[in-house]
Amino acid sequence: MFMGSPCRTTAYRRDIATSRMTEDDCALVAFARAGDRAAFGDLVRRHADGLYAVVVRLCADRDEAEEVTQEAFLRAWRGLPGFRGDAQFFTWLYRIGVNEARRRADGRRRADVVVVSLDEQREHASRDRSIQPVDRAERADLRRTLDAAIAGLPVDQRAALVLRDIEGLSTAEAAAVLGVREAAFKSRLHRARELLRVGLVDHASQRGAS
Amino acid sequence: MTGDHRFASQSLQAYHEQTLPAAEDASVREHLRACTECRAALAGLTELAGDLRALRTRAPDGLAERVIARLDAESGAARLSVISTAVGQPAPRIARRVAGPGDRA
Repeated sequence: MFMGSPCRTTAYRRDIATSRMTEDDCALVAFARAGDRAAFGDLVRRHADGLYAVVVRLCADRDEAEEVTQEAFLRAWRGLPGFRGDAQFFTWLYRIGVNEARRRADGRRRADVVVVSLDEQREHASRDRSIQPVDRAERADLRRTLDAAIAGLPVDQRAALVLRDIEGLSTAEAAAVLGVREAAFKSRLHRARELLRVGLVDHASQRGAS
Repeated sequence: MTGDHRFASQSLQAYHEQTLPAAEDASVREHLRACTECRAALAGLTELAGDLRALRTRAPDGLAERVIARLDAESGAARLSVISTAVGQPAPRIARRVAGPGDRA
């Protein structure tokens, strides 16, 4: 069995203990490219949760996010011979996943998605009129409000915000995932933050007016 | 925000992320000393940044193993058999790789 193979033994394991994440991935990718599925299994274990966390924000629901995650790994496995290694493995993988999520999103009616998220936003709107520090009791409500506000962002901005502000990728990494230059990424991210801010204040206003 | 605060939305974010050039960083810091509105905005940014990081979605349990199982299911039987021959043995296939993981460039 793929993950049960004793192949995952000494060679790259020793490296992992002493090297940085990127270098670990390079070693695993080299083995995987040579056909070592156990090494690819380790790449799956290392990056599946992170990839899922990104694409779930771009997908209709959790089931679709899992499908997209699986599909991305399948494509990565098949595409490994063509992976030149001039990008980090995980940014390449995330790019495959984000593109797949966007492809599926394009197939849905955008209006439907927006209507749903706005409804949710109204339902969970915060009482605060601005984005000021909130007490602990309001956090859960704020979280739901944020989730809905993020869901309401256009997909390009949403992807930028998720990669940088939620997942904590560097600007360079996030730009690589989206296949844009850093300057373009920063502009997209700035726009996303502005939209998010406006969305949150709108919720507060709606709540305050009701 | 208006007037003196116009720098705020992008520069304040960069100040928060500590990515401003030194001179601009000092200039924003100076402004913050005198401006309660921008201090409040910075507090809001800090809070929002923390809230966003806390939003990370937890993946469902067993996700990676399901991905691996699907890879197994959709890959050819040939490869599976190659790996199964190595179970419980010194794994000669790996030994070759240890000797030269970069051989296959």
